[in-house]
Amino acid sequence: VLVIGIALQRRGGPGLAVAVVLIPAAFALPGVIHRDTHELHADRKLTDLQAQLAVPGALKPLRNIHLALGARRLIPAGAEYRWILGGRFTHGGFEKRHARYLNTTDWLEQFLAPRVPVDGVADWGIVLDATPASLGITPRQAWRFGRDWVIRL
Amino acid sequence: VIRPLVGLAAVNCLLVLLGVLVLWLAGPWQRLGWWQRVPLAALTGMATWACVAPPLLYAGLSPTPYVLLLLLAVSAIAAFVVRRRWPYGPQERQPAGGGLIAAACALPIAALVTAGAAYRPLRDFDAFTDWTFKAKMLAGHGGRLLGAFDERAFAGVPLRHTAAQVYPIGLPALEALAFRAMGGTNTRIIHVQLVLILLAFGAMAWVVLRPFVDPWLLGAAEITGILSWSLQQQTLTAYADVPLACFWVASALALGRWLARGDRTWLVLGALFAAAAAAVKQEGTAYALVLFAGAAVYLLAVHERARLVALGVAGGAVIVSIVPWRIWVAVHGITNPDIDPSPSRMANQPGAATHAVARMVDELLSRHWNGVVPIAVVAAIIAIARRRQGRLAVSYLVLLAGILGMIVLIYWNTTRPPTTLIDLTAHRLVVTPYLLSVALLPLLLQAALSRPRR
Repeated sequence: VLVIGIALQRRGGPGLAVAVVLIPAAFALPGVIHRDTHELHADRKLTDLQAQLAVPGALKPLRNIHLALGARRLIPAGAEYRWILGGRFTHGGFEKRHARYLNTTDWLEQFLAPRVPVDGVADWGIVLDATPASLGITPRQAWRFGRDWVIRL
Repeated sequence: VIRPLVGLAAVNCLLVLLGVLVLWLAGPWQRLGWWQRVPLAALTGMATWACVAPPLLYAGLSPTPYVLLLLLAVSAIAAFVVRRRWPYGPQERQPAGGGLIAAACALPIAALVTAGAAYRPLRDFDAFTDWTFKAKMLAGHGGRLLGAFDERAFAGVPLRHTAAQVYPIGLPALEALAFRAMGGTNTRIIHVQLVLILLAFGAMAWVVLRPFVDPWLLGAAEITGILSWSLQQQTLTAYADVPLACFWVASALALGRWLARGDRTWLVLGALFAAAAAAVKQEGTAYALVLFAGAAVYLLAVHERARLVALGVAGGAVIVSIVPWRIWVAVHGITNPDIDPSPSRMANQPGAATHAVARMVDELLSRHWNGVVPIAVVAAIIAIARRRQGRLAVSYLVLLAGILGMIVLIYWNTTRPPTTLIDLTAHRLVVTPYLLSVALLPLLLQAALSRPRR
């Protein structure tokens, strides 16, 4: 940086100003290159599926990955679906139930976009932590993914 | 990987073409040299799409390359008709050169950031739940020309817990266009689009500032700017803060050039970039207000009241550009759950303002921003003391204070626990004052450290 600055100053250029600008960059350069390359190598190792299943830090990892993949395969893009809650989503205090619900549904809603979740009537449903029969639902078709189900109503 | 990258490159070439036509229509095209036109056209095209696409979406069109081609055709006809009736003024003769050397120096770090963007998963919360989610909704609905905007997605269940419903859709519209061009919602490669906005901003700043500043100094400032770890991270989150900052600072530069030289073509571009800032994030409207109010005060201070009318017309155009979005939000009864301006709220939480000021200062002094803002402020003070480019230095300080004041005002009116919101978001809201300082740093240092004239 100093060599560039002196050379420019001798030629009547803005050598001092260039040095003032480049000194912080010179300090930052090694750390930035190291972090950029480290992050690039870590991200390159991820498969496309792993990358799609990456979860933002604020959300907990999804408990049932098979449900996410199955729902995306079964429900057509652009179709409407609704959440049908059972088991642990209906037990305990409101705050706990709500937190459990958001932690699961928020992630899945983003993952399943452009499928649209709705509050009312929908052709598709995702049943969490219960069987359709235990909730009194008789679907036209149903697919089980662990404790959760995708159903066609 | 190749197919989506080719699609992304192709659609960005179309956006550059859109920028060329807008520059042709607005006037700067013929007044600049060839090497200045294309770099300016890149950001202009992206800004035009960010402004125009949301009203088109509300009207029922889709964010697809086919609609972009229609827009290109309309722009070409408009430019042809307007320029035939009102020919160009004389071409500006201005210093140029050095751009390719600066670009070559910046290339390695730009390539590294772009590669990182191409592999990055969508793992940042707001991009996941808001910006890119909306883009996926837009890209996944509708046909080639019509029907992408689905109200069930934008005013319904998915965004019900967040402030995301109230945000404008300029950035999702741009990302949705990229998704359509890529042939699918590739949530890794979409990050490259955000890097392209930042690089286009760098090229635009070079074109605007090069006639006024030494190329070595300008190149050094831009390279230092992109070497900020925080800026790179904010770009790679795919949040709207970096596009907002790029468009807003581009608007400030264009308006500054109009104020300095009086060429109205730059005022038109300034209004376009301000409208794009307002179209990508709702803070953009408040920031545009700061910018146009600052320009009005400047004109009053230098006794050039006759130019206030033109400035007012440009400001009015910016306001008109946000009307469709505001109407849509009002019709659907959507409110912002995070911010609700109210004097009583401000009186009840004075600590929010002081905490916001402290956090902003902390952030701007952080080594991850390379000390650019403090250096620029010191340079401005020295320039004022040495009576060199005093108007520029004062304008910078006023604009910096104005934008920081607006950010503090926003935090002061938060309905959430103030410290939570401030601590969560301060590091990204400082992108705008940071990029403003990066852009003006070479001019300020040139004024502060230049040798006295003999």
